[in-house]
Amino acid sequence: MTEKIADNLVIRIKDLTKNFQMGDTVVHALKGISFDLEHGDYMSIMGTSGSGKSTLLNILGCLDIPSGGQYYLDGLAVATMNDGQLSAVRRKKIGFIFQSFNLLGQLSVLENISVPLFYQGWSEKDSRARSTQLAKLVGLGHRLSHRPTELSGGQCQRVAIARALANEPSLIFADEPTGNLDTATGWEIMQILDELASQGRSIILVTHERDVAEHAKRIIHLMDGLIDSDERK
Amino acid sequence: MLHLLYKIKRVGKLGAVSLIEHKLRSFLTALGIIFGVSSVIAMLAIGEGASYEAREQIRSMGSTNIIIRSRKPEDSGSSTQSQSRLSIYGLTYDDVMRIRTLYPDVNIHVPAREITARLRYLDVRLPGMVIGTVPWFLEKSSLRVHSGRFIDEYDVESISNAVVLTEETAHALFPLEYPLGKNIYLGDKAFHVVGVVSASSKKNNKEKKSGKDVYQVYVSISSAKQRFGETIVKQETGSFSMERVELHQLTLTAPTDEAVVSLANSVRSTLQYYHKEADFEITVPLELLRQAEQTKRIFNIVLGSIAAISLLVGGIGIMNIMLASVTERTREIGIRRALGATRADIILQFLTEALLLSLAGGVIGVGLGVSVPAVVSHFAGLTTIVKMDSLILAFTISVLIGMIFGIYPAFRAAALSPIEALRHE
Repeated sequence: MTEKIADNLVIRIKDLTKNFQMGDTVVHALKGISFDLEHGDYMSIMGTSGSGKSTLLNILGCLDIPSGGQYYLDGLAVATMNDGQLSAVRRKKIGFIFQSFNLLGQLSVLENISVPLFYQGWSEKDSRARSTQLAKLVGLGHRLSHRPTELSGGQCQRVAIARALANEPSLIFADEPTGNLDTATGWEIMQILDELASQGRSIILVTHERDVAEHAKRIIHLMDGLIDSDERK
Repeated sequence: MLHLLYKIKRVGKLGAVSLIEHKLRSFLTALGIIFGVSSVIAMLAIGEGASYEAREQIRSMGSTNIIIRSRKPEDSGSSTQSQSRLSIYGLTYDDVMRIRTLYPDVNIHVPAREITARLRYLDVRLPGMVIGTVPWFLEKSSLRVHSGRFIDEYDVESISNAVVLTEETAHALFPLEYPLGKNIYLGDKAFHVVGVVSASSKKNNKEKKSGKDVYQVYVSISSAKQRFGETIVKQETGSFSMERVELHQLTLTAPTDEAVVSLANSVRSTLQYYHKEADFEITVPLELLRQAEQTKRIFNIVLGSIAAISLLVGGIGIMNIMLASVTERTREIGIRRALGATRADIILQFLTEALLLSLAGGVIGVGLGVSVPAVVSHFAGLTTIVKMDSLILAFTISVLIGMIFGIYPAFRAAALSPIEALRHE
């Protein structure tokens, strides 16, 4: 169902809660989160482990559904979608970048970038053209047929970024993108993300490091399942 | 629709790539199917060949025939004592007359009366079997005239001294000369060679008696009776006994297949009435044929069960490997799901792999299943018949196995929660 919300919003969440059953006890991971995100916003979510930031990320990324509350992504009411619908949303609207890259080891760089397009039903020809273009964008045009095992950490993360852009997503999620990289390489990756943000892409960055979070224009601090602070630069 | 085919093609390619990545594992998994399919085809081929041979042999005895043979009854009395006895047993001409009278529709053959005698030409001496018979024996048997002629009516009526040799006998007695027109000795009686016959199948010519080959010759039944007497003297260590057999064998031909069994029973009761001892045996080829087919049916069922079990095992093997593969690729599944793959996409991916495995196994199995019987035929000399039915059946089943045993692992893969899967090592 599409509710008419303001055109400039890519995310609206209201009173989002998430509970987990752990044996006999119920864990309240999120106790009521609300915020809006405009198109082109560059936001970080910070918090220690146990603050609920991973849980929030999973829900925002449509990998999980909330126990209560509302979530509108690009106007779509996502909170009550079933698995098939959520898969479609991920396919069309979301790009993921993970801490451990999560590339498919038996596929080449080009094929890795094409995976989202595969599930969208793109032809091989079109898929290859787009992936090549994206690979060049992240500076890996000369490594198209290499396997992830043959690449450095930084190069792997670039491939992941290219992949995240493949389906022209409304929103990019980066979960600790520099966590497995050294300082210098991490900085390079952040440069790329900053560049994407300046081009008008909506980006949510999840991290526990202050200096990484500072790259964004808005920082939300989570504590104990609730928003502790919401700063804008 | 086109989009669906396109998708299947791409997923198929994806599955194939994945299987080729792990060649050894894929091969070992497919082994179960390969063995199952090939053994079904090969065993059925061997069974079919054996059954065919058996049926042909029986058929050559004549499906409407009833064969009655004289048989020496069990000794009632001690055989260790040195005694001379005269045993009279077996079929008599009276029996023939009775059967002729009671069953006018039945065709009666009186093929032979057999006498053991030594064959001699000049210096060549051979162990021989003299068969006294009638002219129409030739058409009922599988023999053909090679040269000269067979026994004719005149021989029977005039009790002539004509003798006809089998090809083997002719070669053995006359290695360098032409046999026709020569005189040979059967025992101590002189006979005149009037013809040579040859067999159309290999099995009829040499009768093995106490392990040695015996050479056969044919004379008229009247000559046999007159020159060799009705009494045959046999010497066995410790005692000597005399046997008198009028007829060794009688072949009846029923008018139709349906009439055979009841006729056989009828004849059996008639003969039993007139014979005090069990000195004859009746063979009905048709009954044997039916038994042979029944045996074959049972054989096929047993084979089928064994094959089914082995295919089942093969399928379980596939399921096992697919489950292990799913576990191993949990992370991969999570990634794909995060990138937008639906549950159906994942199911399709893994199901395709299982299907490809069993298809490949099926194809290789068919290839093996067809070549093994050929090899067996060549080296062991057994007849094997590969039937198209078995190929199609085995192949179809292997595909089904792949689908059935691949479904569960595929569902398991799809059921994983993306978040959990991503967290996997």
